Amino acid sequence: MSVISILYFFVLLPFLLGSFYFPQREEKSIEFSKLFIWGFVVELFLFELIYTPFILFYNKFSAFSNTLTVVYAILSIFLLYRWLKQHKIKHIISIKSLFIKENILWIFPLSIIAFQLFMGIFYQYLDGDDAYYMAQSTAAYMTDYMYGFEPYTGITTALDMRHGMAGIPIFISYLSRMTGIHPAIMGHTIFSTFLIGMTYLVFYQLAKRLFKNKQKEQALFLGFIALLQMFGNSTIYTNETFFLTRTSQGKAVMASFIIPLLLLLLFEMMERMEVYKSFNHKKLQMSDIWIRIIMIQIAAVACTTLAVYLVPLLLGVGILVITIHVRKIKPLLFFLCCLFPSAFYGILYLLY
Amino acid sequence: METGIIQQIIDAYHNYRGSSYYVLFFFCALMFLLFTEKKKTIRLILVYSSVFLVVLFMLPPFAWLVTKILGEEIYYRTIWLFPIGITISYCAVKLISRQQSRAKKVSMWVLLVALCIYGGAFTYQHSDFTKAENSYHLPQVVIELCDLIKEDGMNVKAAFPREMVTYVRQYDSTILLAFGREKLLPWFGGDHELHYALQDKVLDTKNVARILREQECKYLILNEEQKLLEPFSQYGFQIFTRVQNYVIYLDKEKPEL
Repeated sequence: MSVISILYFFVLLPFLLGSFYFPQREEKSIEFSKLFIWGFVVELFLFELIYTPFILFYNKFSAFSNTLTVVYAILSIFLLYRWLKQHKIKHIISIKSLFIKENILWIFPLSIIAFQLFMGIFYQYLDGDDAYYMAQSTAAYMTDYMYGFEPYTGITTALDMRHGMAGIPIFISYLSRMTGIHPAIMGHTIFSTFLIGMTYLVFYQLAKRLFKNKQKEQALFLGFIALLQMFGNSTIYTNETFFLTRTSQGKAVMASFIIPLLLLLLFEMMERMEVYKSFNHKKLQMSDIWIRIIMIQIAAVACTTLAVYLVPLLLGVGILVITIHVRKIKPLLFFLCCLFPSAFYGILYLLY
Repeated sequence: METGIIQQIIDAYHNYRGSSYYVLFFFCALMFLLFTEKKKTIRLILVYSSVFLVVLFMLPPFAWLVTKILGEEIYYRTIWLFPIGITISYCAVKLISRQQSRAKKVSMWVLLVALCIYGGAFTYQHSDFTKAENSYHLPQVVIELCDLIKEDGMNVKAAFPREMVTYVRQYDSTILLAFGREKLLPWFGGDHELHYALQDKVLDTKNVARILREQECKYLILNEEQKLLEPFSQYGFQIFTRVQNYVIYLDKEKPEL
């Protein structure tokens, strides 16, 4: 039963929710990795969207997780029905087909990634901050109250809103509840392994944008990225250190998964505009990008409340550069209109 | 404002960089791409946006505003937004691709891989990385101790040795701790009477027993080698059991919370 639940939450659900992003407009084919990445973002987005009112007004974990389950289930059924009806599955390009050529070069990134996955499963990094985050996950799982206890000692306490808004520890509790696996195993072993894989899918997508149709270069790029991740532990503050030592903590998800994903979004935005040579072209379809910008802000808050600063800053700088390039104020105005989730969570952050 | 904030920017940068050459590589890669990159999308997103972010990060009024609103300790996280790994990797691949012959390409690859290894720090060399004792990724002795003292559906309070307090509640939240990790961290301020009393080379048993009672702490876990002024049994604490090098004492006089 646990295996089926794990497959549902880590494979089927991201896959189905990914199709929510790319319904009709996407060209003839959709890549599995792209569906998967954005599907996971929707999974986190829905989680945080439902989690926020619960943590503000009613911190009963079972009520929250039942609500989330109903939402995930309804969406899954609807999206599965739509997939089957439209026979879209045949249009998915699998990752496997992309590795057929240039096998030898792919050994460079894949061996390093496999090593990191091995280390993530069979080695432990005893991080002190887990006394807070993982203890919160376990407390919600065992006591049915979210952020109701001081995690270090277990005494009851008022809600710590700055930490409480970022729901990743509760997301781990939720996955534990649904799979019957202890939060420490879920967070330290299963979820962190999933996140390592997911992060490299983002880098793989980036490689494809930086080196279009050049598999050798894509493999080399991914290899260097994996190498830098593994040798980036110069201090405790680097993205790379967070990625491989504190993988399941929200800050690590932000630093290693969300931030490269924002760059990917900027690349995609720029590429579409390049195709039509203008931001005003009638055929230029950007609505899904703006929707993704809204969703990723909320998904990022699930990782860390600091997302209200980091996400608008990176996207803002990127879109400002694009705006200057196209000499049209429209992209920046659209972006500013999409910033309401960060504004909302930012106000909550400052109020508490 | 200016001197203090400039120092904070420098500190954030140095704290992030450490002894690594990656930030230096990143700046070199940015310069290289600034002069050689022809693809518009990459210039805009990877190069110009990065330069913009770096300038913004170093700008004192920006740093002042951010640290005022969000706090000084998190300013370094702005550096997370610099695409350091992506830019270095992209540049490395470009350098390899520029080589004409296969031998030159392989040599360049070897050189760049060596530079990446030399310029960084291997994550798994860190002393905190150890072979996992179980799938919880928690010390096995803590799990065994918790399993022995936990009571189904009931909270139980215990005092664990300081080296264990980080892990106990990750495993079982029905175990309440007399003092937790916050007492080990200087920035939380203050000390805990029991934590302080347990630091003595020879434990003042009477004093420790008194504090445990006051805190309604049912169990005390001590290292077997811990020296005691008097036996705990004189004050109602009996040896409950032993696990590896640890002894669990149970308060027999006041077993209920």
